Amino acid sequence: MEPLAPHEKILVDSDILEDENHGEIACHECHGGNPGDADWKTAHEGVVRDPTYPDAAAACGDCHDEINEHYQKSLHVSLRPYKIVTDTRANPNAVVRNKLAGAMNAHCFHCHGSCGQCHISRPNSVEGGFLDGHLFQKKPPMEEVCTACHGSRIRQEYFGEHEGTQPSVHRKMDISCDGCHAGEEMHGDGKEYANRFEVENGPKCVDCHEEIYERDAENVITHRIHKDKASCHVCHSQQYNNCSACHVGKDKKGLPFYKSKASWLDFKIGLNPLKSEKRPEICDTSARTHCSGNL
Amino acid sequence: MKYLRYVCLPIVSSLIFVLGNPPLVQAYEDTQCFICHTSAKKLIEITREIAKTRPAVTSAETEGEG
Repeated sequence: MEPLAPHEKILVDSDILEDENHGEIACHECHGGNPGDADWKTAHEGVVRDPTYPDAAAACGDCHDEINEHYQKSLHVSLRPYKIVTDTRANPNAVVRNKLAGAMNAHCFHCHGSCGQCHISRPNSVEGGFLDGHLFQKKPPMEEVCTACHGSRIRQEYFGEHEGTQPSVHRKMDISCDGCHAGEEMHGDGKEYANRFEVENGPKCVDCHEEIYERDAENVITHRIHKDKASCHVCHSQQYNNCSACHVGKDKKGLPFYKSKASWLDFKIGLNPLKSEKRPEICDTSARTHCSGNL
Repeated sequence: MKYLRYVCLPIVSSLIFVLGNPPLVQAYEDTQCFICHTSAKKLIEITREIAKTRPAVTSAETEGEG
């Protein structure tokens, strides 16, 4: 993803005036500040860079009330699975837990979604910048939003950029993330899920490939034999990126840093630890991969 | 009566609507926010000014893949 020049990040396209919905909202109504002040320093006093995080109610809620009702429980906003997993694995000692909470707030929780960081600008975690001059994007562009964050472990797999791998068949058909992960999933449905596999309106392969168990379908015998025993990814996948040992801290200037070891390609099949009605399979890959290359 | 209902009434209603609701865009097209943020030249000057004074926000100790 090409980085934007500092001024490009905040250059507003005057076409926004033509937006019959958002074009009638003045800048300061969402961002605050002093719109009549000619001095940029004082004009920006009290300005909120992203008025949709942590609470989007004032900026978006009046019109997008259905989404506003649920979005706080979207995993992209709550990041709840990260907290659950680290709490499960970490030392229960209160001092350790306190340090862990501090580290997560300083590092991990900087990567999150918000209305603005998907529909208006690139996410803050990649230093932001308008997607298209502050014009509102109904569908966030995949390469500037989704894979801006999900870059090293999804983008490279989906695009087949690792040595010896190939692009996903879905990529070859020019299907972008939102082809499977629709807005309803991204915006949350009001339920607090512990992990992404539980999300009820998340995608399932059979949503599109519903015919695979029918008598005349291609490879029907294989599909029927493995139904509820192995997830689709056990066969329709390839190696994916694995990583470990990310250490975080603050340097002498108080700036947060991380040091991670190099990642490696691997492919692991194991027992499904989270069996459910939606995921009844006995075997699964250890990560849902995005690289079904029909190998 | 038909003339009044089908010709005059819509014209009068439209005039009331237009005059009573001046386009909102006009209201903030002239604000300082809009003037600066639609001008690449102004933004280049300001962001250069900011860059001179703003300290680094990324630690030099960061290593490895993010």
